[in-house]
Amino acid sequence: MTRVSPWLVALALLVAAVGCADDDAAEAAPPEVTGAETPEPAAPDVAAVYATIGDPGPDGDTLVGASTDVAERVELHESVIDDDGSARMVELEDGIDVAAGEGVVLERGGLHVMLMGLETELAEGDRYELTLEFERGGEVTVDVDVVPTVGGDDGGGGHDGQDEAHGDDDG
Amino acid sequence: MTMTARPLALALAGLGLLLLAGCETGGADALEAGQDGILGVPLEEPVAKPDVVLTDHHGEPFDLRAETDGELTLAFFGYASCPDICPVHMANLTSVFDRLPSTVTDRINVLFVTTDPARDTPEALEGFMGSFDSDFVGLTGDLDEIVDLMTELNLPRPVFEEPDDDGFYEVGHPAQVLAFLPDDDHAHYAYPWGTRQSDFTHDLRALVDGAAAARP
Ligand SMILES: [Cu+2]
Repeated sequence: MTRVSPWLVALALLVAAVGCADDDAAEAAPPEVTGAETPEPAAPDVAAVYATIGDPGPDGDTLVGASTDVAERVELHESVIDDDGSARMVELEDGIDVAAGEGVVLERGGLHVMLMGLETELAEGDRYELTLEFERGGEVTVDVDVVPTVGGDDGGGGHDGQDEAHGDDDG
Repeated sequence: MTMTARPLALALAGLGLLLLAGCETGGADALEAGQDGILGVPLEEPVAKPDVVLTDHHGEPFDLRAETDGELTLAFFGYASCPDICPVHMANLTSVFDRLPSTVTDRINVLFVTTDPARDTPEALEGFMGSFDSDFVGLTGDLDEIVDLMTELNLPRPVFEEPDDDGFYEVGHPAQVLAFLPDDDHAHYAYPWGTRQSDFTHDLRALVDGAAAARP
């Protein structure tokens, strides 16, 4: 019986590892980002970005950062309401989890990308580029539409369809 | 609203609740009407409108009691450099005003009281208020005065975070809108973050002539 050379085993492992790395690279495309928008800011210095981040695939992903030319600094935030009814924003230093098979929605009153120190005035109808950085998927640059301050999604975000249905009794 | 519209409204509200159950939201659940037919959350203890003179976004003195005497008055406490909850509340209320006839909105006051008077000068507030309904009033004053006012209204105090390297800071502020009624100039209802435009529209219509008139 022939013994398998340790060198051969090592070589096989190496090939397998390289193969795996290749697989990873092929899989690790950033998730699809749609509907990126910023309401025209009412204040001159800060703005929020909302968007829908699609299914990152079976391994999930994490949005770890963002950057844009229109602002000095960009942070990942979540608006939270404390037990005493106080609303505040929390910086998410560990990033935003993009759940496997689901994705995540950044919406009014919840998760958002926060632009601080605006360097460009953002007006309704403008469009600017925002680069999102994912832990696995790498970077993706999306166009963000500046939408009217008034007339966007309702209340807690993402339920304007429901509101329209409910709103029919107003007429 | 006619009597026949009521079951329909209830059915639609129920449908909304079902739809809501299917998704996550950062906001409150859909509001449910109390026995008085009002969707706002009743305060355990109604609170008198504080006796205070603030400064409006045109730099004019604003005597809260005198200016809003006997009128339905909504008050929200926030700050202009707030990109998420504050402008969305004000935008929602602007959309609500767009839906209502001027015969109703002319008799309603919407007040945005700053929790950050150091940055929110009348000029800064004028810029912020310019994005919303032109009848809304932005108010500023001394921080002590505003904190007292909020304490009187049983609201959480503003929470100032440490300024960053650029001197920018965020301020925690109450998430809800308070409604003072025409009947007695007391705050009776709170509208939590996430209140639907349609729910505001319903209640403003119902309460503009006072809670007594709104009783079914
Ligand atoms: Cu933020």
